[in-house]
Amino acid sequence: MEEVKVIQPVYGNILTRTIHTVWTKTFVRAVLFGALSLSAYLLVFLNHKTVTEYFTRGGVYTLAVVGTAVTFSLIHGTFANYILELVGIRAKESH
Amino acid sequence: MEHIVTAGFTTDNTKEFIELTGQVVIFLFILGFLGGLISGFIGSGGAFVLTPGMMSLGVPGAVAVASNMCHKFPKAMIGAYKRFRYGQIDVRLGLIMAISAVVGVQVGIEIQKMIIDKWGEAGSNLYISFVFVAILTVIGLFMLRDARKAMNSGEEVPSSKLAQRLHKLHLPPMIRFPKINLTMSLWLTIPVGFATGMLAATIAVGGFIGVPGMIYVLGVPALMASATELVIAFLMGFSGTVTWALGGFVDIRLTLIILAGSLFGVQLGAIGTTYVKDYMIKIVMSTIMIIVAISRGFAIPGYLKELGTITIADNTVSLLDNISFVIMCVAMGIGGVIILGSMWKGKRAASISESPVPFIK
Repeated sequence: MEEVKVIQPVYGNILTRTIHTVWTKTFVRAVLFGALSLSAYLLVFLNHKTVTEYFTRGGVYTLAVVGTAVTFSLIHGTFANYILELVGIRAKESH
Repeated sequence: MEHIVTAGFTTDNTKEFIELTGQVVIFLFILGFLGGLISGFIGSGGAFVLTPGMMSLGVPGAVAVASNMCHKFPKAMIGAYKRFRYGQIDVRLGLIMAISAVVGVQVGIEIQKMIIDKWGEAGSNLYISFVFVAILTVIGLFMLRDARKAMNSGEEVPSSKLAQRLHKLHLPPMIRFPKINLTMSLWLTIPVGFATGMLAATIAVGGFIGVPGMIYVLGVPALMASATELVIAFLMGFSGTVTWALGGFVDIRLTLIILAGSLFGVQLGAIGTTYVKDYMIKIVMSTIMIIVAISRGFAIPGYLKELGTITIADNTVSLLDNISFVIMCVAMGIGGVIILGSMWKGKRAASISESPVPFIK
């Protein structure tokens, strides 16, 4: 009878290394976008009186309102995406 | 509570900006997260509790609506992008529906103005509550019945008989919707989009008509309908934001705090849709609709009192208002629990079926 050789450990090592690299990359991106998001929030909230005064003038300041909402969504949304990935929350592959 | 009054604006309290405390920030963050979770999953929702939630903190109605609207469009943008990547959005249907919805919003606003002119603020509030209770109860119960049928049989229910009949209508222009694999008359999609906008202008949650309309009138699967609704929410939210921001009503601080929570929630909700069956969308949506309808029912006596139709003590009105708000928060909480629960179950089932088999040579 032919000997059955289990090669799971080799496959497992490659997989573990790949997962580790992907996790590190995601972690670095999460930290980067987290820092960006935090800086943006601090910028607005440390100057909230000035920001509120300008952003409620209407007219052309509408662009600032829309632009700020979109910019924050892209930065903070990307940060949220990486955090969810880091904790293992990902979409099902075959949906 | 200290108020920051913006220089150069009206002296009334319609445009006051509240002081932010730690409690306010946490409250808005949690509301934002739950609202985002529900929106990411069923395509809409959240607005029904965010506006009254902000008003309960002392934010004037117009500022609450404007700031809520301003968080809605970028949140929907992120949610729509996510669900587009999962192949759940028919962009063509979303755009046609959104354009019809924007027209519907304008008509809805005109109707509101007419009601306010004739019966005042209380009349308008009564009309809003009546629409809430009537529409959400009828559609919510119908949807729940349909979802339970699918859940018990374990199979997806085919598109409604009404949709099947309407698909036979060949009234030009006929439009092909590639993602949902359907061809139908433009004249079918326009009324559904228009009604979505009308409801959005009235109760701020157009999706409670838009999603069931797409499912039962157009025959779109619930997962695709809820995803496509995000495109409509994005365009409606964007046009609404521009309108409110032109008048200077958006409190960007409130918008950004809500966004901080909702951008997590909306992506989590969107991911959740990849783990559940189609009928779960219907279950979550119908459950929320029925609870919200009950909540608004508690607010009706107060408006009837303001109109002089009934006599009721002020304390009782205040108590009923509080009960109404708490029930709305409960609706959001229950929605969140069902979404996270079904997602967890789906994820567990998926990880069991995908567990690796040892490689042998």
